Amino acid sequence: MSLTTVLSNAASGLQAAQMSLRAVSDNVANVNTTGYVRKVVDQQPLVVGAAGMGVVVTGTQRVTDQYLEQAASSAGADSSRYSAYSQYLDTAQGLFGDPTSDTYFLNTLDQMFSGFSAAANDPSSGLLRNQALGDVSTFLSDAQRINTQLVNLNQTMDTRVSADVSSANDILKQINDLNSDISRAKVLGQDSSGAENVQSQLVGQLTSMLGVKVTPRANGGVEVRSSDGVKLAGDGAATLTYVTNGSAPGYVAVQPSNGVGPPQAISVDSGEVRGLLDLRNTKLPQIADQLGELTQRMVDQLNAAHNDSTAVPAPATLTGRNTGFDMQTALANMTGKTTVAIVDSTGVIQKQVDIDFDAGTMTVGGTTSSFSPATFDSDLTTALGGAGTASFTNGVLSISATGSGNGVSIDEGTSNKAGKGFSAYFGLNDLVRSSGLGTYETGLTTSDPNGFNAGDTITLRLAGSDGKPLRDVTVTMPGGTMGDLMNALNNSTTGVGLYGQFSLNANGQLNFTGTPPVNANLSVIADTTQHGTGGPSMSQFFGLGAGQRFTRANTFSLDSNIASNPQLLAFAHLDTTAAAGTPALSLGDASGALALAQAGSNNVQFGPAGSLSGGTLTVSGYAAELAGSVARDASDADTKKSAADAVQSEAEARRQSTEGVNLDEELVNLTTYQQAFNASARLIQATKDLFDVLTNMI
Amino acid sequence: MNRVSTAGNYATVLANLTSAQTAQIYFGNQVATQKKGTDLKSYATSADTLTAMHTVNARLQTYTDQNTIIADKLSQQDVALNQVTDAAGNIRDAIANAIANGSSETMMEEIQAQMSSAVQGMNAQYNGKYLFSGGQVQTQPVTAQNLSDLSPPANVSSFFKNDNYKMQNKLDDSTTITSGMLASDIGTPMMQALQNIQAYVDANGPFTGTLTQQQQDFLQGQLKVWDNVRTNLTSQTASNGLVQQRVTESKNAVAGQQTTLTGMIGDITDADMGQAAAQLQEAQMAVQAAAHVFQALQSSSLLSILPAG
Repeated sequence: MSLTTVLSNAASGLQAAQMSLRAVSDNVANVNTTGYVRKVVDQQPLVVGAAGMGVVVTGTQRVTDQYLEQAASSAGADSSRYSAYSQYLDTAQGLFGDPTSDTYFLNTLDQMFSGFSAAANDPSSGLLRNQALGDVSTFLSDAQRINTQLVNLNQTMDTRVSADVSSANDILKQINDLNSDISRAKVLGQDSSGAENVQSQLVGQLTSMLGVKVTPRANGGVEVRSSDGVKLAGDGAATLTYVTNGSAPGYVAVQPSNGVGPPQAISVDSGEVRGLLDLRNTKLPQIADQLGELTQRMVDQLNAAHNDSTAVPAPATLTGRNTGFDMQTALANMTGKTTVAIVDSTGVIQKQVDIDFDAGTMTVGGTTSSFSPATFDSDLTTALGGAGTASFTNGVLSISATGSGNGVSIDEGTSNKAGKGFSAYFGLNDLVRSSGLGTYETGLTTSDPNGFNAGDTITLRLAGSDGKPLRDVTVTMPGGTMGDLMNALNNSTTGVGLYGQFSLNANGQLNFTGTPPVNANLSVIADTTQHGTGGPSMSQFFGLGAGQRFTRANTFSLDSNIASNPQLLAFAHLDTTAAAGTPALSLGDASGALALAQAGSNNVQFGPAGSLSGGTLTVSGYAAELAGSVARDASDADTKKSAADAVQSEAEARRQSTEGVNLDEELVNLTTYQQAFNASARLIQATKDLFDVLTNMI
Repeated sequence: MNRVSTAGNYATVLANLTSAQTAQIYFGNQVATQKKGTDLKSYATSADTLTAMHTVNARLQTYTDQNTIIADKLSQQDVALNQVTDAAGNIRDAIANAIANGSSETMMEEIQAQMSSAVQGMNAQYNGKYLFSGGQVQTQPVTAQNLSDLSPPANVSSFFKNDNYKMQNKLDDSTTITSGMLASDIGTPMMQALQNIQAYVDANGPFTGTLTQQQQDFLQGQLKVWDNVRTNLTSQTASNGLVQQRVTESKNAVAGQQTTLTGMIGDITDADMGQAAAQLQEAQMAVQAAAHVFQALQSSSLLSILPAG
């Protein structure tokens, strides 16, 4: 036992107090730093042999609880996800307007019907016609506005995800670099808590963006993996890219750090990127599709009513829409009877042709002759006998009257193809025209020729519900019938057969249904097919893929002739029972206007679009369902966000309560270590006094 | 939890204060606008019902607006029909007077004047369009002006230029009425009766001064004809009147439906003012409470207790 032992014990006490004070000072300085984990110093008694020799500081520990950290970071990832999702979905639902005010988008539908009702009271009034046309224009342009905004919103999603992915790349690199700093400090027994704090903050940022899995490494530092286990950082940082291909679902791919192999798609289960991708890949296209379905069917109903009516005086020429078919295919499967008449300026019928599609005949003045679908236009011209001509070019049918003041008037009768009458199918007297193909109900059956050039290809992508691509399939057009085409599409090896089935419904609409449990969705990557020479491609023709369905509502506009001359708005109905020499059309006939006003109340077959399964309802009914679905989705998103936020606050609070700095605790520690320092110093002073006594004795 | 962090404490107080303020603004908005919200999201599960109700309301409003126009048009028709009926009555009276006085001095002038009045009634216009011409609204329905136009062998139906289109109107979801009337229906019996007189004059010479026995017998026979003409016209006017009544009934029914619907829409969109005001007060109190907690936190730190030196 010597005095020097006492001195060295006291000195170790001084050292320990100083190191503890250093830890306390760091904690106090960082009391308000978010994500800072407080430090405590481990003190152990120093034992040499069997005797105590003072105190030694074995290390500075970060007071972390690994499980609380994981809980907090996964709650944070969920919160970011629903926050991004609900924020942009809120913007999307706001596009529809205030349901209590007149500017509500769906009110424009009602306004249109009111306009036609008012016009029905005074069918010859130019003012009322103008107003009704204005109402139709408002509806179409409002639908266009919403659709354009949805497309813009989608592009914003892309920009944000790209930005998130590139900052994720930076963070991964930084995390990786810190790993080496931390490992080195741990091996040398130094204080690595500063670097660890920085790293855990970076991990927090990364998780809120991408929802990754983080595991600690044995020699310090962390390993970062994606939700499905692909290594992103640890022994080398991977590079992430955001891959988009037109309107196919976007996904995140990783280029491994050693650079070997192609980029591999990864699953992103939560985080802001998940929320944004859900919107971009699924929800926004769904809303646009529903909007397109509503607009499409509304236009179809308006056109159906308008095609069954005639303007007074009747127009000299009726020009149809591009059906995308040749004449024979266009007329195939048309059933029922219709009447095409040439009338003079007072509405008296000059020539009447009754066409029977079932029997394949045309009857003029009691004389019946047969016609062939391949020569329909020339047969009709012959039947009209100089009073008018019919021609079919580039998929468009037109009928003209000869003689000044004469016009063409059609009574749809019982004619029907794919749910439309003869005039409506060919779009001869359409009120609203489309710059695209508009309707996807082609009226084709499995035995009809499919019309696509053999050898052309279409590349389809099948993706999972999270956007990760499953398989790309290239299908070659087989020529032949629709049945052959369906077989080629549904083939298990060269087609989509393993993931789902294409089906052709009664109206000739092609739909893809993914087989459970994967429920893959379909998108179009490349399409070089053509229907006939210069005709529409398969995706345009059948409306395959989100790209086509996303832009439907943008394609409609009022027929330019009618827009510039409201008198061409067809309100009268051809009276085929009128006595010879008396007018079959009258200016005061309001039946067409009434039919247009009723267009919202007819039962219509809606196809599945977005999250609505369709079925038979009225356009007004579908509009209500659309409003309901958008409102509920937005409200649900808000609720999820609130719930996720609440969980996050709770998890953060618990984490903070363990890891956070409590100022009062640190102040007590400060006082304690200060006293310990004073006590050790006092001991040294006492030992010095003892030494002095010894030396002064001699 | 047996430990809290300082930063966590202040963060919690801040979060509470923020959420109290947000609630304050939300309920303040409700109180100010008296509506539960201004976008689809605020109505969530009621959005589809609300949209559907709006559609029905718009349709009812259209019926109401239309109803006024139809009622107006029917009144005009009523006036015109009364004019024609009166003309028929006056002609009958003129004939009766002539028989009673034994003199036909002013009878033919009277008949001509009443014919003009009747034709004018049948050619009545509403908003610049002929009321009784069916679908040919720009074409004058009756072209006969003078008695002499009716001389045989002219066919009475050739003077009526209307077609057979009778305008129909939808009053409400379940009621469609035929509001249109045709000049030919109204005026044919009358024109035929007038033609009888003209034919007699053509065959037997004009009526001048004292009546001959033959003329008196003829006129006596015509009295019955004119009675029938007048009865026919009166019943047509009555039919028009019945349609007018239906229009009024429909108007009241639609108005009733609209009131109910407005109430139902209000149930969905209107904020419960009492509740909103109470919640606004609670939110305001929550803001104050959070502020108090903040103050208490500040003063409960060791820093203020430990000496500085």
